[in-house]
Amino acid sequence: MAKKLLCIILLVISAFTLMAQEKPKRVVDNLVFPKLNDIAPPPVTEFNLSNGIVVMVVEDHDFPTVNIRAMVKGGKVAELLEKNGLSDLFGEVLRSGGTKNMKSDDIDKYLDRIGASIESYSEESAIILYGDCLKENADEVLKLFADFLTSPAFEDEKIELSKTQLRSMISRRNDEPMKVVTREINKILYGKDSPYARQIEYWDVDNLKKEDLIDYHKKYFRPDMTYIAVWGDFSTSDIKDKLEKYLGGWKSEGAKPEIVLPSIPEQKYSVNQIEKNDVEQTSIFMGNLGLRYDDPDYAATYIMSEILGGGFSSRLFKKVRTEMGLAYGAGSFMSPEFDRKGMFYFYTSTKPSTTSKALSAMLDEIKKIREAPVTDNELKIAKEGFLNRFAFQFDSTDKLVNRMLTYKFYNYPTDFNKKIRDAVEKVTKEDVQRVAQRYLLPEKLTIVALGKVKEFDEPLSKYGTVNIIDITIPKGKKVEMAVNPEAEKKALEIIKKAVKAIGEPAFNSLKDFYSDGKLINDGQEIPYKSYLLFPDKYAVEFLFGEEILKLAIDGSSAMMFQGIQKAPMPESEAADIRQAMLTEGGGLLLFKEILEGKLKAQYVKEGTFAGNPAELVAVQTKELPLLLFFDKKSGLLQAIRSEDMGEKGKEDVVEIYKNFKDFQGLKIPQDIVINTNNEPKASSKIWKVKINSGISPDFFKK
Amino acid sequence: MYRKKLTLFILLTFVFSFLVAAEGFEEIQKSVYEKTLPNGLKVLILPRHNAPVFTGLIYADVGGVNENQNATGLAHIFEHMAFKGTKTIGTKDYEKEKVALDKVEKAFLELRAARDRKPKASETELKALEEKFHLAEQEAQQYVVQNELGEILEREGCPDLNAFTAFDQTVYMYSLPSNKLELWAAMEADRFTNPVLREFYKEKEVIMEEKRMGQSSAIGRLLDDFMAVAYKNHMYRSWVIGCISDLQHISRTDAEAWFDKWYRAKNLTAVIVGDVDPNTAMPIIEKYLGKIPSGEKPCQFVSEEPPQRAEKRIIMEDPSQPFLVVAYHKPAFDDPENAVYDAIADIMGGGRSSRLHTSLVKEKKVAMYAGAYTELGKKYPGLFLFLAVPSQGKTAEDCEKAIYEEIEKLKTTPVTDEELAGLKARAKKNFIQTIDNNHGLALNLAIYQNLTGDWKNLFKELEKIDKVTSEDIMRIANKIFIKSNRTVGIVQTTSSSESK
Repeated sequence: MAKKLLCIILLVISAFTLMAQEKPKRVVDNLVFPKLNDIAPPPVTEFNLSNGIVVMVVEDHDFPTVNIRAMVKGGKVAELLEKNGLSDLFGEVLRSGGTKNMKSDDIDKYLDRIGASIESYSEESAIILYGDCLKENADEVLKLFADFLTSPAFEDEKIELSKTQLRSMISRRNDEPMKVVTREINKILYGKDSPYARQIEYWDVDNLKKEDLIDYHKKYFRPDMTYIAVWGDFSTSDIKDKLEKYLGGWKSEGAKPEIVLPSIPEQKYSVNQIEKNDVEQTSIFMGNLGLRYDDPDYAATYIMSEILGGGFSSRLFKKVRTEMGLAYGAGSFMSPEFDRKGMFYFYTSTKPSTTSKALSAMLDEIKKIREAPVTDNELKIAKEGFLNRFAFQFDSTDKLVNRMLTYKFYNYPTDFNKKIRDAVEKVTKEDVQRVAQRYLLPEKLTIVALGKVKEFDEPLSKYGTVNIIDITIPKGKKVEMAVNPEAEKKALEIIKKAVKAIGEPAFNSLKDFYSDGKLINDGQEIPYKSYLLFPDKYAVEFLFGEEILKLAIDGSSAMMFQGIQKAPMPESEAADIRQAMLTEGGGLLLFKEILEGKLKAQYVKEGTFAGNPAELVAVQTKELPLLLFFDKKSGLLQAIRSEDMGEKGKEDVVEIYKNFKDFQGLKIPQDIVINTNNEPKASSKIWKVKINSGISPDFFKK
Repeated sequence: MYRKKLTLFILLTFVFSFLVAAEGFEEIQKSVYEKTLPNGLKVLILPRHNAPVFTGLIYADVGGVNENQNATGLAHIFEHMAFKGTKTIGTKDYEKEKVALDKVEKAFLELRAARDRKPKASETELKALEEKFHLAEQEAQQYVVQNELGEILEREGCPDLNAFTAFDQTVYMYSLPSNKLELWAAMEADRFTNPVLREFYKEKEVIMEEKRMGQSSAIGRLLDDFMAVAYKNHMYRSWVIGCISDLQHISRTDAEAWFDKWYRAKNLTAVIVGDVDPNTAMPIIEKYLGKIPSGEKPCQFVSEEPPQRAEKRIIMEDPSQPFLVVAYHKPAFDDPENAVYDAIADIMGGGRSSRLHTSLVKEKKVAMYAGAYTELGKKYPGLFLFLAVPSQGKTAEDCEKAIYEEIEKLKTTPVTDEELAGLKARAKKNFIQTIDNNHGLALNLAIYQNLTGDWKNLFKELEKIDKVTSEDIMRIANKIFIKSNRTVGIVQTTSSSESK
């Protein structure tokens, strides 16, 4: 008995010792959470107005406000390529242009006076009008809201104002590096003309008219294209009566317009580089085609994307930020859409000297998640995270009602988010690997990097042939050159004749070209030297007394130098210098590029210049379309005409070449006169030319 | 849309912005539970049962403004480090890790002393010390469980794990499903009692990238320089992120000293807003956060900014499109007349019929956006800002001229009754939008508690705005909008028009 007791005591003691040796568990591991309170969202009432408008209403009496949002089918996908920018302009002027019952400025004053707002904008597949007010003003604001939908006025002055704003946006579109990179990658992924990616140019803005807005409104704004949500402090029946009163009489006329969604091109591997020297970091974006929300793979893909690049616990964040310390932000996200496939994006930004290091690390992670299953813990974190976050889908009435409205708009079931939740619960490690292999396709990846290219740790060519993306903002008018082999052939003949006229052997052996001269502008004379090293380097030095200002183009980079200072050239100036580079020495580089097929030229017609018969040839350069006048008799290029944006709007600029003189076997115009709007504005004179003097490529770098 | 996007962008450049006024909102006020724990930590709980979630916040009454000249960026560095874990979170074996971390620190301090030496230490010596430091770092790395703190919270359903450091405060704020209040309390208590600043030197690299990111846009570069021009003595002169040399120089020891000084219970406020029952929540919070050492309320002295003597101007030439900021010194947030400044900002820049939008955007067409803000610097005398984004072909100077014309009108002609009425209606709606969500409520309760001494002042803003008269506006406008009190910052697009 005693022995038995001793055994028990020993056992207890050893158990105690064991327990004491075991490490104390952490507090956070031992927490027991109570059951989560039920998610009890307020009821959503759905009905149709007598004319068919779909309406969703939620009463929320927490605060004395009323909110409204309308979605109308249309948006960017409904606009024609010939009217690029129309939906953007429409999205602005719908609101800013007033209504037929009230002038725009009066509306602004009225709404500000009562602390209310109504705003509008265009999305890819919808035009959105939304507003809010204190409940005591609900009746008047709803009436006004209805007026915007049914009878907007598109006041001329406000159209002009919005066009000015659009132009200002264009002029600023390269100032934010991440915006540039996302814009450019989408142009590659969706195609540059796709409504999901295309950018608006100055000529597009010029091309938009009031009638276009009226037509757009007439075509798409109709009850059977309109979906409305209202939420706030009111009674549902009262709101229903008000909406019927203000919108019930609106009628759809004719057949419902068809909106054909654009197709998405086949994806191809590409490496793309944008040189920008006024940034501190390289911005990297990569993309792959993704999927629609209703794709059966959506849940698994979402979990995969979370594990790869979703948050603090994701692989990309851990690797690139936490472990390597290369970036503040690094990750991936998918952009599924309701009516089309979205994209997968992978992004980071890092200093120039770690560009390739960061890019390689990201590519490695993309490969790894394809090659091996994720760990149980990763799957657990991603799934539990999603399921635990579900309650946040209901934490505001605004979120709730707009989600329901969006589902309705795109014809999804109203409990779609619950279906996704159920699907996420079932996702396995095998699913994750399967979708990683299916959707993350390194061999079809689009890679875009923007930054100080010369300071990269390794050239991007390590990853494949590099496409250089030029983000210069084009000015002037767009000339669509239709395919016309006949006119192209004829243009080539004229160019060849011009080359013969200036001296073909010397032209063919051109390696570099130097000239010394002066520029005369407003009576002021500025001596300058110009240096052209074929095929892509050019510099002009202006002499202001002792000071030298040097502007240099070196491939895609454009820099200014003054003393020890250097700075990237602003885009508009860089464009001007590129233009000057083409026409240097009477069009030497221009001829070369046309003959090499880099620039497209077409014969236009026979005309006259300064009273003599001339052949007219049109050339589309990156910045501007040019019209070239060749003397019919001598074949020499006599003048180039272009339209440029000057300080006072569009200007007609003609550069006239005179006084050709032979320098080392090449006939070069010694005098150039520049006429602006038919008035001589400036001129230049060359007195010295050196050909193939051996200009060093380094000269353009410092 | 583009107008909206732009406004948003400019707002985000600052920490946040709102204008307040309300009539009563007594019910909300009555629901706030308030307690000061025995260790001195202030707790506010506000139940809101819309959805089974809550937002929890720890407000540390310390920001960039409390730094010293040679250690700028320290407040923000510590904020980053507060995500690196504790003695039990983020480690495989803390006992061994501690030894390794001490070795890293010793190696860094040695390296730093050599780097700081004048005349310069030899390259060979520096190389050897760097090598030693990197080896120590590698050794310590083996004990790290990366991002475990974030991982736990994300797994438990946190959708918005984050924190921010501003001039005046450091705020740690995130949400969780409402049954996980105890997790929040345990995590926050642990990281503000036992923080381990592991991977410190790696994280500094991340912060330097954050700095570079901010400087990738011309506006970011201008604002960085602008504050140093507007202020000559007060620490608002140094943008929160700090300067690169200080970031390189700061050691883990420095950051730990910062923590010891500023993160004591008496300097912290905890706020919970959401689906919680204060009667059960308060004991849970007390159980965990009550353990944070009490400490002393640190001294709040910061060199005062002397009155400005002459207009200051900074023109930054840049290839980017132009931008304008005009600032006037104004009193701190707790000034009895602060509401008048808010009123002026709203009349000048709030809404499509505001004076600046009407004049600069609609009529003169010199700007695509123009606005007025009072939010830069609150705890100490801050800045009243005017911002303008010039339209294509227009310059910052065009906008500047137009802004001065509007300021002149404000100084010489009383605002209309219509404008005053609009101001008050907008204030009410803006106030509602600020407090109709857990985040906004939690943050504003904490800010008012700390900057005015009582969270209840949040709900008194309406009365204050309601009392603002056209005479007040004219008087204040004449008081601060004077040339010698002004700093102007311009991004001027570099023009090489000589080349044409």
